[in-house]
Amino acid sequence: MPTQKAYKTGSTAPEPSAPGVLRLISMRFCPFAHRTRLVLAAKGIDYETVNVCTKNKPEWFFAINPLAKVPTLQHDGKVVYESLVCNEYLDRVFPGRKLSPEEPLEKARIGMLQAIWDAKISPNFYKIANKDQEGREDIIKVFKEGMSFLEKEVTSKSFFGGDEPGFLDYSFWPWFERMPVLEVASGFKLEEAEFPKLFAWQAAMRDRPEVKEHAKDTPIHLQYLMSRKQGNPDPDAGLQA
Amino acid sequence: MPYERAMKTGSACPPPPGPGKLRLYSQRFCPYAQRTRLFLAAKGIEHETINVNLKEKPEWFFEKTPIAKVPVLEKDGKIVYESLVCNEYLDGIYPDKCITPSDPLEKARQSMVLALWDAKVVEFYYKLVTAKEDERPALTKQFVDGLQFIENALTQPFFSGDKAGALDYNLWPFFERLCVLKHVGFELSVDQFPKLSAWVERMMQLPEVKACYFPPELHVQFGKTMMSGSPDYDIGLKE
Repeated sequence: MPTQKAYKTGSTAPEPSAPGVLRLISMRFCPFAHRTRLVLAAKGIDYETVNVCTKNKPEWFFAINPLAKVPTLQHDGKVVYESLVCNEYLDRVFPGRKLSPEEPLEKARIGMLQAIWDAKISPNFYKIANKDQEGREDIIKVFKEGMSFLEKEVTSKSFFGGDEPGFLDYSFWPWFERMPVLEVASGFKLEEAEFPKLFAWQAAMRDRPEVKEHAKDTPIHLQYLMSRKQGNPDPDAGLQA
Repeated sequence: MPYERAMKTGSACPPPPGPGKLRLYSQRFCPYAQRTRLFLAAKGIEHETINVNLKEKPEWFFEKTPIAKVPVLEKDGKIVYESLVCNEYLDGIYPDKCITPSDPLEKARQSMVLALWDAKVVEFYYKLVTAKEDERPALTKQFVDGLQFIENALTQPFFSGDKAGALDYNLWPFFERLCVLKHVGFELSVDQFPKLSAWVERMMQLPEVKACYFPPELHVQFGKTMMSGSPDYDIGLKE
């Protein structure tokens, strides 16, 4: 049984995967890798995982992906990296439920909402966890502005993807799973009265089998965040020795 | 078609384009907007352009896009923003002469090269432009190291293969502006970057590139107004 423990600087590269086997290079707590693990689960794709330490990166990783970031996919000599690029690739190449629309404007809407997320939400997420963050109130304001766009979009549907979760649902979910950590770390939380549709969406997402398969609870997310804050992120937190 | 002066804060919201007409909100010197202008030129799509002052943004612009950046496309009440999203959208609604690669792995490869560009080059590009003399050597090294990744990604005449494609148009605007780095001592050397240098020559021959092209002097002139804090978006326009 291959190890889940993260490969670090100085480690020997793992054996390449067998022909035809999809390998995901990941890190158990990375929200970006989490996006791709959700899509793999949603589409029922078989794969093996190699975890790496994203702080003390193994040298062999740079030869595969010059950015040495997770997630990275390897498949019969092909390499794909960048979480959303991985997700689009998986959706198009593997059978199973389609996670993205074909219609040009619907496709564009995904790109635009993702751009709002990238501009207003994800860069501010961990800043909010820091109670002493300079300009925290303004950061929270921008964060909530971003959330209000999501609130508007998820209005008439259960999920951003329609009747079932799609590309955007899996793109956003990892941060929502980590949101209780913001509350523990700094007292910040979104109010259900302000974002009723988003709260309903979160409940619906938590019920999904693919979400449950990869869910981690708040204490372990917090344990990882604390280890990161102390300058020594522990990618193996929670693993049995 | 003459470019219009950049609309600024306090301006009245222009009436929407007529039925079936495509409008591009742009800014004459923005490299991201140029990506979309290149797609429009390469695909031969008729459109009208409204330029926007990005320092003193018109209030109505925020209604079109909450990110308030160019490029933005507007057609029959539909709005699309973000340069790469706009470009794919154009291929979706004007499927003739499709530029976006249809093969999923090729599309992924092009996206990954852009990710390399964003991570390894762009940051140092902007920093170099405003760098103080003593900061230049270190930044130039980082810029040059980053550019090597892009040189290595160019294995055919164009990034997209035998002909220019999405990745070529998405990268080109930054290469057209490399002249702006001359004053901090960087020039694209044919010894250091033989493939990129040859690609630049090839791109400059293309009609769609020529149609959107500004000469180095104009880019440098605009760059100076940017650095002074008062960007002149209308530089080069006839009175």
